Amino acid sequence: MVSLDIVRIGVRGLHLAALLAAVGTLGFVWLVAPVGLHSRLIRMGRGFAAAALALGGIWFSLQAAVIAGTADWAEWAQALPVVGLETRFGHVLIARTCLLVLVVGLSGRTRFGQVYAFIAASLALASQGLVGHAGAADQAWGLATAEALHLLAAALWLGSLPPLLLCLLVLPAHGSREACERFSPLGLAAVLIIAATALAQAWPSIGSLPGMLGTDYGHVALMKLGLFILMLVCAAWNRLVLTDRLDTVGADRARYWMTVSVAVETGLGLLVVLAAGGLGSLPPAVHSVIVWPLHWTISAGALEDDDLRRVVALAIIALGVAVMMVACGALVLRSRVVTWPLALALAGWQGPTLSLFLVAAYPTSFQLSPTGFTASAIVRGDALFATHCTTCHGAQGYGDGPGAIGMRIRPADLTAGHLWDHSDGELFWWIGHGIRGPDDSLVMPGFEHQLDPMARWSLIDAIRARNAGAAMHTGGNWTNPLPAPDIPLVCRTSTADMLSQLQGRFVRVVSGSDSVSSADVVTVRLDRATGDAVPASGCQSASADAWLAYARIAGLEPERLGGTEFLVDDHGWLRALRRTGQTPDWDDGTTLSDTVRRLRTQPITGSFGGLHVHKQ
Amino acid sequence: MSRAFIILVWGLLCAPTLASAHAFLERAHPPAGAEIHDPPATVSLTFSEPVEPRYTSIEVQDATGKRIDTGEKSASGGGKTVSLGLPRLPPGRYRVLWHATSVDTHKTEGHYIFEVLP
Repeated sequence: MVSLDIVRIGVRGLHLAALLAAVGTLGFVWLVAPVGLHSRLIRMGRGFAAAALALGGIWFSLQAAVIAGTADWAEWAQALPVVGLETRFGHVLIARTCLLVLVVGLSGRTRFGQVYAFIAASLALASQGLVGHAGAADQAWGLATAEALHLLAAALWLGSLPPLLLCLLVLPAHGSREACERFSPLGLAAVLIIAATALAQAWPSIGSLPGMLGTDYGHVALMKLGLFILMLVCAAWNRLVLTDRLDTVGADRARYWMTVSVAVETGLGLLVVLAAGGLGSLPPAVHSVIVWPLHWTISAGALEDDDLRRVVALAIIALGVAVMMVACGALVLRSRVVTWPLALALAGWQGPTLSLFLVAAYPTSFQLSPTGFTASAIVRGDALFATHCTTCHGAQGYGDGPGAIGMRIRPADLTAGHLWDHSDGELFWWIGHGIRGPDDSLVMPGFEHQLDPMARWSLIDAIRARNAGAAMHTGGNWTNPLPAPDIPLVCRTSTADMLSQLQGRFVRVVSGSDSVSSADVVTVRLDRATGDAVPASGCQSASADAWLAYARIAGLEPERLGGTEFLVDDHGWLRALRRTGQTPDWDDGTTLSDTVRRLRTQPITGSFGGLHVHKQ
Repeated sequence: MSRAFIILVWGLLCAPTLASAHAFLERAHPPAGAEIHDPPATVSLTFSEPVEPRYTSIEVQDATGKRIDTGEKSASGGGKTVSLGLPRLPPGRYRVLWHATSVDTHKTEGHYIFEVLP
C-alpha cells in the first residue's frame, strides 16, 4: 500500500510537471521564441499537454481507488464513474481533461489557436488549487488564488526551461542570446511571484519554526526551498555571467555551460514539482504532531532576569563590534591583520554567553494537548494523580508525599508558579520518560508503559487545574491565563452542545443556583444531579465531571462549590470568580455589564499549555 | 505597475486563512461524552472543512456493538455537516464511528460515545 501511495504521489507530480511544461512552452512561444522555432515549440507544447492528459488519467484512477477505498479490481471499476461524477476531485479532473483535449486540438499554427491553447492550458493548471489543500481551507478563494498564481508563475519559469534549452541547442549564437535576454524579465517576474505566493501558502500550513523542523510537511517544504535556491543560483549564473558571453569570443564554451546549467535547472525544477506533489499529499504541519529534532531550543527567558539581561546585553554589544570589525577588514584590506584577530577574540570571549538563550528541549516539547482541557479530562487526570503521583508529590501536589522522604532531590511542588514556565509538551515528556538529575540519574520515573498518551495528557490537565485551584485558594486569583474547562451543555435558547461553542459571548457559570439572566452574558448552571430542569433561559450542565472540575479550579472541595460563580470571556478564558455573598453582585445587571465592559478592554494575551495557541 | 504588484502580493499574503487539509471533527451533536435525557433524532457531525458526502460515513452502535442507525444520511452547512437519522433510542450507551473524506481527498476517522439516560 505504501508503494502504491508513492506511485500515486509520483504520478501526480509528473502530471503537474507535464502541465507546467505545457503552459510554459505555449507561453514561451507567445512571449519569447523567435518565429522560426514556433512550429517545433508548438509540437513540444502539444506533446507536454498529451503527456499531462495521460498522466492525469492514471492519477485519477489511482486517486479514485484511494477515495473509494476499493479492495479489488471490480470495486475499483465501479468506483471510477462515481468518483468522477460525485466528488469535487472528479469534477475538476474531468474539466481539466476537456481543457487539455482542447489544448492538443487548438495548438495549431494560427495565432488564435496558440493564444486559446495557452489560456486553456493555464486554466487546467490553475484548477489544481481546487483539489489541493488550498481548495479545502476556510475562505478557500484566497489560498486557491494564491496557488493558481504560484502555479502559473512556476509554469512561466520552470515550464519555459525545456523550450529555452531547445533554443540553446538549435539557434545560432546571436539568436540564443536574444532568446535568453527576452526570457530574463519573464523569469524574474515569475520568481518574485513564486516567492510571494509560496510564503502566502506555506506559512498558514507550517505555522512555526517547530512545524518546519519537526514535521514531514516541514521537511519536504525545506527540501523544496533548498531546491528553489539552487535553481536561483543556476538562473543567476545564466543571467549575470553566461548570457553576455553567448555571442562574444569563447561563445561555444559559454553556450556549452549555459546548456548544462539550464538542463540542471530543469532537473531541479522537476524535483521541486515532485516535492510539491509530496506536500499536497501530506497533512500540513499545523495539523501534524511535531517531533522536535534538537536537544535544545531558543528561549528569551534569560531576558527576564535583571543580572542576566546585563550579561546578554554586553555579549550582544561585543558580538556586534566583532561583526563591524569583520566588515572593516573586508572593506579595508590592510586593517584585517588587526581587526579580524580582534573580532575572533571578541567572539570567543562573548560568543558562549549566547548559550543563555538555549534551553533543553525534547521531542514532544512543541506538542499540544489533544484533550481540549475538558472537565472529563481533568477528572480522569485527577484519578490518575491519586494513584500514580501522590506517593511522591503528596495528595495536594506540594512535593511532600511519603515517598519523598529521604530523596536526594525533592519532588517538584506542583502548586508552584514555576509549573507555568513549562509547556504541556515538556510535561508530557517528563511524565512519560522521567526526569534526570544533574548526574543523569532518574530523579522521577517515567510512566510511558503505565499510562497511555491520552492518560498522560489528562494528567497534565489535572495538574494545571490543581495548580490554578491552589493559587485561587491562597491568593484569591488565578496567576496564569486559564481556559474555562469545557463541559457538555443543554440549552433552551442556543444550539450549543459544549461550553466552547459559546465562544464569542461572555458566559457566567453558576454552581447549582438560579440566577438572573442578562443580555450581556449567557448563563450556564452547573447541577450535581441530572434531574433538575434546564433553565428557561441559558444552559445547564448536569455532568458530574463539570462540578468536580470547576471545584478543582476554584480550589474548593466539591461539596463547598454551590453558589460559586465564574465569568468566562468571549475567548473562553476564565476571568473572575465570585463566591457566595461576595461583592459585586453579578445579579445586578448594571454591575455585570460594567464588569464585562471592563474585561473586554483588557483581553488576555498569554497562552495556556503550549507555545502555539489559537486563542487570543 | 509596481504599486499594483505590491498590492497583489500584499493581498495574497493577507488573504489566506489557516489551511486545514484534513477534515477534523469540530462539533458533534450529541457531543462526545454527553449524558442526555432526550434521545436525539439524528447524529450530526460538523467537520473543519467540506467533506465528500458520498465517501463520508457515520455509524451508530449500541452497547453490544450492533448498528442501530437508520442509514439516512444528509449533508448541509456547505458540505461541512453530515447528519444521520436515528430510531427512537432507549436508554443506554452508544458509540458513533465516523470516516470522512475531505474535498481535497484526504481521509480521517474517529469515534466517540454518548449516553441516553433513563
